[in-house]
Amino acid sequence: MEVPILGELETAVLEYLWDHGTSDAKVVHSALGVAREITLSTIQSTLERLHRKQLLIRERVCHAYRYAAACTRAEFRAHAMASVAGDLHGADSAGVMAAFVDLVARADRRKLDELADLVAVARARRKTGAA
Amino acid sequence: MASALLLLSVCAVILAGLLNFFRAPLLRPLAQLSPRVRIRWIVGLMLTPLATGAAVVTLALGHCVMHHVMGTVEDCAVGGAVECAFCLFNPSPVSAVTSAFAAVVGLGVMYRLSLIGLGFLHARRARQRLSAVALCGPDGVWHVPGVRAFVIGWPSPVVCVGEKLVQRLDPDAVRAVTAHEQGHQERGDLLLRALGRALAMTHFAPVGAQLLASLDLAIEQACDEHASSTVRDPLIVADALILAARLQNEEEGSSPQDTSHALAARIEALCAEPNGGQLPAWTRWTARALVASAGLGVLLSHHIHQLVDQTIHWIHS
Repeated sequence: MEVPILGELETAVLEYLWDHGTSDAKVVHSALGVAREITLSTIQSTLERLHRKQLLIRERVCHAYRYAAACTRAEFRAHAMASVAGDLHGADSAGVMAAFVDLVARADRRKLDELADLVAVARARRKTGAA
Repeated sequence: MASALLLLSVCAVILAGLLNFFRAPLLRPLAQLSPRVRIRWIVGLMLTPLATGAAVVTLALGHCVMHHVMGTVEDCAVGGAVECAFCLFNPSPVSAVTSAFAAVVGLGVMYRLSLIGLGFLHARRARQRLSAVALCGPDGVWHVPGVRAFVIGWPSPVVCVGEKLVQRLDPDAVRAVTAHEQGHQERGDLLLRALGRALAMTHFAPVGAQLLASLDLAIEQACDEHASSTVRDPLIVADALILAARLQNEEEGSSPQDTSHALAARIEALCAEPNGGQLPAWTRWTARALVASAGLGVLLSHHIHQLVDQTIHWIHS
């Protein structure tokens, strides 16, 4: 699942639904919109956009929709990191990213064990030297 | 004028050839320097083709501009003679060939620069996506899902540390990883890395690739030193590197090929005893000899000019 890029309000609405479960636009507006001084229609548009991005599911109750998150927070975060992987490689190849361990470098288990032994020897040498 | 251009162009080609064939022995002494000093040397080496090329083009175009300003355009590279490699007003077949070559090289450079620009857009998009899932710590570090630690974005780079990495490392190792990435942030390494990729394309491909790999390694080692001084033990940084590599293998699978030369070099440097960090004597004497030769060339330039002019006339006769 390719996670779309979300704006600040979209992220806040999604976080609210994760924390509070199914809600309608009025409830979300009273929780988030009043403090931000934004109108109910803005919240409704945001919920509609998130639904179009397949991040929310909704059901009609009387004359209003009630929205719920389409996936859990953990699933969303995992999908988001998977979506970011391609951008990370693109940024790395242009040099606009620096990783602690290189993105593409792979050391096999034997090599890592050899390096771990090297570190152990260095640690023992320093203890001997200090003693 | 032509002799100066020819001499400069020949020097540039000889320098490029020397760098290509002797890149390993030329770069090896640099490994003895501290990472910060090594970065300056490598960037200097990477700048040489650009500096030489800029000098050649400046001399060539300056010749044409001078004739234009003096109103003697008709005297500029008269009669198709090999007077000026880039003659704008009286192009000869030679100047047409060199201009076409310069155009092809320029297109290649623009293509590579556009790829670098695309990388900046990727970084911006990645940062936007990460902002939706990151938990911002009190020190401004973003905690993101996964096992990676990295710094991304320019001009406001952000440090991201994987939550799984934080769970598996002990507190000192987490401090070391965070300090390493914050070192990149403070030193502006991302811009230097992008600049390195732009400069690498001005060399022959094997030379550019090796210089770039040396630059990236020096940058990482400089931040390893910063992390080591933060936690006061380089072996904590080494342990963190090994554990992060193991976690990355578990998460994403190991490769059939071992491509971790840089990782091994970093760990070996962290385990090694600190050295004086000086270049060996032969490199200092070589540098002195080159400077002396350049000075001698300037003193004897008139004689060299005459010799090159005679050679050109002999070729034409």
